[in-house]
Amino acid sequence: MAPSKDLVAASAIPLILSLLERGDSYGYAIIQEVRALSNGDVEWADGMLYPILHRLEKRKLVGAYWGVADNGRRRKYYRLERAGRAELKTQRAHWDKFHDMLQRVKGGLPCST
Amino acid sequence: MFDVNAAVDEWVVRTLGEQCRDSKRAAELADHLHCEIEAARAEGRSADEAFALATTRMGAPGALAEELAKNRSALAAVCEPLMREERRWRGSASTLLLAHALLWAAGLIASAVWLASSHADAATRWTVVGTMPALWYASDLVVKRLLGASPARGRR
Repeated sequence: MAPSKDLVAASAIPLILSLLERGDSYGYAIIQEVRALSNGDVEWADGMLYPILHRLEKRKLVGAYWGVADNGRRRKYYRLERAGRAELKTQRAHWDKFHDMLQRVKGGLPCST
Repeated sequence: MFDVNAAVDEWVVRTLGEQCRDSKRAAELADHLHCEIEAARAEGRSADEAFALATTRMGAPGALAEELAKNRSALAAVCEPLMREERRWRGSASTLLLAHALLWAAGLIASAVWLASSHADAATRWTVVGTMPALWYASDLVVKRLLGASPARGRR
């Protein structure tokens, strides 16, 4: 089942940062990885990714450099910066928190535990 | 035969504007579009079908340009409205020519009135008179550039 547009938007930054934590990458590859990770349920509009990447670059959470692809085209690669790792850690803690809350409610655990 | 490279270039220019044709942003978008086209081609689509599918996935050029513009530098943010205005002007050459003519008419009248009424010395008067043709030539060049016609072409 495809998640809502709001959820897709909210999860975009932690997903991008997580993928870059695994290694440097570029826009098209990031979209393909997200598609594969979600078994096709999460479909980012291609145009949505670049404004986010540029914003992350501006905030110095990711860095960028130009390389040459196998086919000889110029390609912009992104890498996770130190500030990005810290942001990812925070974002993961937030998502874990919500996940934990949902699990507790689902499992019928008391709220105070 | 459908020319993929030309189509990609044209799409990028349509999305980002002519002034960004050789920018890094344009190179990044073009690379992405080529990746999408290659993937669609690998699925057996023709070149024009692959291009149509790739551009659909990228999103409408107008919406995409707006999204991309949100992250531009302060200078580019200032330039963007001016460039938008320039593009609008390109579509109405007569308005631009009329505005240019009126501006110069007003300028000439104002300077004539000033020369007649002021007590400026001869050197100042001659400086004003001598500067006018140079300014007119410069503004004429700008107008012709905006209209997409070089002065040389205009004289032919």
